Amino acid sequence: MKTLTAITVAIGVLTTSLAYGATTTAQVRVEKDARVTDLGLAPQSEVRQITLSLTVKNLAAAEAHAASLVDPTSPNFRKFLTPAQVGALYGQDAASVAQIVNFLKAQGLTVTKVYKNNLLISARGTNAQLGAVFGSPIHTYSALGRTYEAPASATTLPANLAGVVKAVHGLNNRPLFASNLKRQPQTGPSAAESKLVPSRIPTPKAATTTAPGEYTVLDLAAKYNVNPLYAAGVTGAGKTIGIATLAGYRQSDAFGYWNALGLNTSPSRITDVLVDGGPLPDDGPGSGGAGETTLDVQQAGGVAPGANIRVYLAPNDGNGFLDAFATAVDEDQVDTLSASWGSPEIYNGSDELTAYHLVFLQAALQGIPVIAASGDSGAFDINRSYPYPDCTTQLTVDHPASDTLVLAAGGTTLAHTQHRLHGDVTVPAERAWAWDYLRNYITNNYGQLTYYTQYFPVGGGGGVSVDFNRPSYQAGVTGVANSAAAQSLYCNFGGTYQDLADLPSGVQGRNLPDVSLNADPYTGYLVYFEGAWGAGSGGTSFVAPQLNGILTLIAAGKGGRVGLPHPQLYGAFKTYGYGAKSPFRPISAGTNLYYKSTNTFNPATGLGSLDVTNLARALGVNL
Amino acid sequence: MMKSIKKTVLGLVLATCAAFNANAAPTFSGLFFVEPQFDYYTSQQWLFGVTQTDAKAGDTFEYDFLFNTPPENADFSFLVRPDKDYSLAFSNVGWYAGDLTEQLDNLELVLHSWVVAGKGRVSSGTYDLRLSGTFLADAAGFTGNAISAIPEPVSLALMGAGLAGMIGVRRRKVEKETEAA
Repeated sequence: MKTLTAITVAIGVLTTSLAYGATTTAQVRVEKDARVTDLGLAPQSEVRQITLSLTVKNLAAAEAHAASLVDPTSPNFRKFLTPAQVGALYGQDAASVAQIVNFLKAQGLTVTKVYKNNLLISARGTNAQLGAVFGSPIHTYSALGRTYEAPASATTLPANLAGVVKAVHGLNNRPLFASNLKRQPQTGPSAAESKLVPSRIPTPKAATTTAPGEYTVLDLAAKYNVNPLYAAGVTGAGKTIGIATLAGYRQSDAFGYWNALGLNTSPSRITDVLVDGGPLPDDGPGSGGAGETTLDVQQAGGVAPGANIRVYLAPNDGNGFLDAFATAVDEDQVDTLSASWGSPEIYNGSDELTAYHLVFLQAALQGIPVIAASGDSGAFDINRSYPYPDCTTQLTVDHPASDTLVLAAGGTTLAHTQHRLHGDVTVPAERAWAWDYLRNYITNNYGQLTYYTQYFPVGGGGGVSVDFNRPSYQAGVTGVANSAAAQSLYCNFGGTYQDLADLPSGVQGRNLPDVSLNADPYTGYLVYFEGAWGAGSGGTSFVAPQLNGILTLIAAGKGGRVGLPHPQLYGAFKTYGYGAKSPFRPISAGTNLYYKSTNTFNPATGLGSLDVTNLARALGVNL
Repeated sequence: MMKSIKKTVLGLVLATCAAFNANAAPTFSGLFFVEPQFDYYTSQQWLFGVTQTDAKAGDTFEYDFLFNTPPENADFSFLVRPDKDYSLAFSNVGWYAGDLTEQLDNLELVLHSWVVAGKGRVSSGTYDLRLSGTFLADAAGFTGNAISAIPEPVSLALMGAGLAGMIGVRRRKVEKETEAA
């Protein structure tokens, strides 16, 4: 018999396999979560929505084509494609698509949409039909207070679809995506020190020297040098902002925000597009998730007040998020597209990552930049849903920001002083956002556990993807890192530890974020939500729509879409560095809880923050 | 007889007994996750060890102990000693990633038959300490203590000094309690 010392806990080991995926360096998935309970067969007559992703023709050529569209030396320069042209060049042919459609109909499914790209087909059917077609009964599961439905065993593609259909999405409708909105702590012993009520209500033409935590898009414009574009008459007019989101909102809140700031906006500028029926009932206006959509619209539309906005509202389950992006891109009516929702990269299998990647590739071919929040959990993205110390820390990044074709929006903290109950905390210069600068103050006054439970892990998402190879635009860039060693996720489930995922070390993966702007709730922003003003909000959720607005201004300024931003940004960095006329400002202090922000590219803040006017000039706007 | 310092056994899923393994597998093995104890400020401690009450002199062991070091870079050190002098002899020590396979070199390890120790700067991660050896007495065991400190000008030196003192205190306490029992 063996007895164990103190808090030594025996563990159950669920080893994870590392396998190569189509777009991946080393595919790792989180294994079965002990918090999930199988409730048995799901209602068989319930109707569900799925999307089939088809095999792309010549992926490498499509990737090269996308890059050539923003290469001034290429004959393809700025000859962006239409969705139909993408379908003709890289999608499946009409006969193959018709074969799939006919097969689905023969199984009793209803085909709801064939995308112009000939790479996606949406359909609807009952659980019984879907289970029969894809070889697994659909069960109901519960996890963390929510129920969802998913195949009870591995699914298979019917022989009639093999070779042309890559994967089926939406059979598992577990809500995976979380908003990247972060507020100052509202619980715990230090919560009384948070400042969530504005010291004043914004008014038109008010001075922009507002207090940290109460900034608006006007302060953003002043801080990152956007104002020369406005002075030149560039407001985004003639362009359309796209926002993909998973919760509802009220347009009146957006107009309330813009009107309070005195922004000149058209009352008909917003168009809501419901995807797959729109957000889930629990995610409607006034819900927690609605705060995300609200700020997305306010920020993007506030930075580019002359632009129109299309808001793609999808359910946070199954294939909703994928369909939101796909619908926006395939409609081809938006000039930019951003999302502030995400999930840890390693939640996704290679089929999911590939399907998203192809949508982003289509966007790049059509000249639409896609921007995503890099997360609010610093270098430990997965620990927002597997919190420390019940689970081990694990260096992880967020998807879709980790996709090589998505501009990853990181976070900084602006210089400021917090006048707190037990003394001042000063951040002397803009730094990588993480609340490690509060660690000494919180631990000294409230103890280490308060720090780790209320202030950790909080910071700008960033690190190294283990699923996407390092893209050519990051090759040879000083400061780019490989994945770290000893990154395992063990969790304590009811007294027993399980190993959920072991990540490979030394992976030469895509680094993120690409660029960063202020995101710390302590130097954060006002939100006008449900007719009331709230302070102390932040997160890379703000940065993604801000970058969306900024790229919309640039598109308007140059009279055409921006195109894939990465080669242009990293190219500009190679040209200008941090010297005169550089679009980038170095962030050379702080960490994102692991990676240090330095005077080079780094996985905490990427290329740094922006001088937007210089960026506009570097991307071809005459100012 | 169970020692009084061995407190809470929260779970046991994997533990093996392979006394007749022809490939010289250890007689006893096990894999354990060691939960940290947070002090009020910035250091963390881990207490770990095994008492194999059914061990006989001559039996061998190989145990793995998993530590998740702090999110911040930290100075980490550990020390493991038999609960009774000459009751067992350590023969090997390994320092691996949490996947139990990737060997790492970020700790300076010391191995003697009567003590195993290690120290170094570790970045955030989950690490596996693998200890092997032979029981020299029936029902023997060992106790380990690990500590991490996030480097700060003053606290670092204090922490290093504290570790040595703490181990001594722990040993004396163990011996005292064992005698009392």
